[in-house]
Amino acid sequence: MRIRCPYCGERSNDEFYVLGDADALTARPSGENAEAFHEYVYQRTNLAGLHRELWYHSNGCRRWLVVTRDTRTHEISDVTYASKRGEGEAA
Amino acid sequence: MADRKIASRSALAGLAKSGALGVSKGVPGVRIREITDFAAIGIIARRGRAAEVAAILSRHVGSPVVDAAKRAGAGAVSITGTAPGQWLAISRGPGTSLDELRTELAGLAAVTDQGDGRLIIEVTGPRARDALAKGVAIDLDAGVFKVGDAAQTSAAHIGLQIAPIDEAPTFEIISARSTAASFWSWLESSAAEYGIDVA
Ligand SMILES: [Zn+2]
Repeated sequence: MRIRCPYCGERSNDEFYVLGDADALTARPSGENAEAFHEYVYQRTNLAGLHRELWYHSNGCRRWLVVTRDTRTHEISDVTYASKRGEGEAA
Repeated sequence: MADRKIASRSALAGLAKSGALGVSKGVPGVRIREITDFAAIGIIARRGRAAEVAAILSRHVGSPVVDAAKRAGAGAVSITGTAPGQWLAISRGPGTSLDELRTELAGLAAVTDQGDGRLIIEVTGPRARDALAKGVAIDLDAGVFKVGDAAQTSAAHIGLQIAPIDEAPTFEIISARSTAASFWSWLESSAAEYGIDVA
């Protein structure tokens, strides 16, 4: 699989470290609800289809990227800097 | 207390002995030269200041420096983009310094001295590209990877930056000094079948 890094260009996936769901840890629930917190920390969907995931370009520009990948075909439709996923913050 | 002297020692000292290595028939396919006298600084622009930093770098090197994986500079000073808003500046030559540039960047960028932390080599010769292609997993073809381009990548799991600096082709490779021995081991094995001349 090859990932087109916005800075480095197209690279082999072995230059990257993958972390998983890019949106999993964005909406932190109240720590008082143990069940909701357990869901937030541990439970992940294992979907067949388009998945937004975090990849770190460790052997390249050392930027975190959000890669939109079809888990059925490995086809990648979008790659952006993870730092831009919030409020349009600059990389 | 005994007097102690700090001796300057290149990254490949004791590893790369000058002369011929690998197969020896005819012209060596790969020629390798270590650059031993240089100053280096890592530059990280503060948030929103990348354009101002690039302008200062351009003025300093005498050719346009952009916020991209490119290498600028044909003389002693070169500046290579390593990540968004980040560059590595190198000044070659004994006793050289980048202090003036560092002063100019005050307040605009975080600047760290890298002079003792890097290995710099130049790899050239008719089979240089073939030898490097065994571990560098980017397209090194002259039609794609041209003088002025640069890439941050790896070989044998060792991070490096690589740039073609002339059409011979000669590739400048900059890597961490701490893994120079492992890098040398990979390069020597990869180039051995073409014959190596170490300057
Ligand atoms: Zn990258």
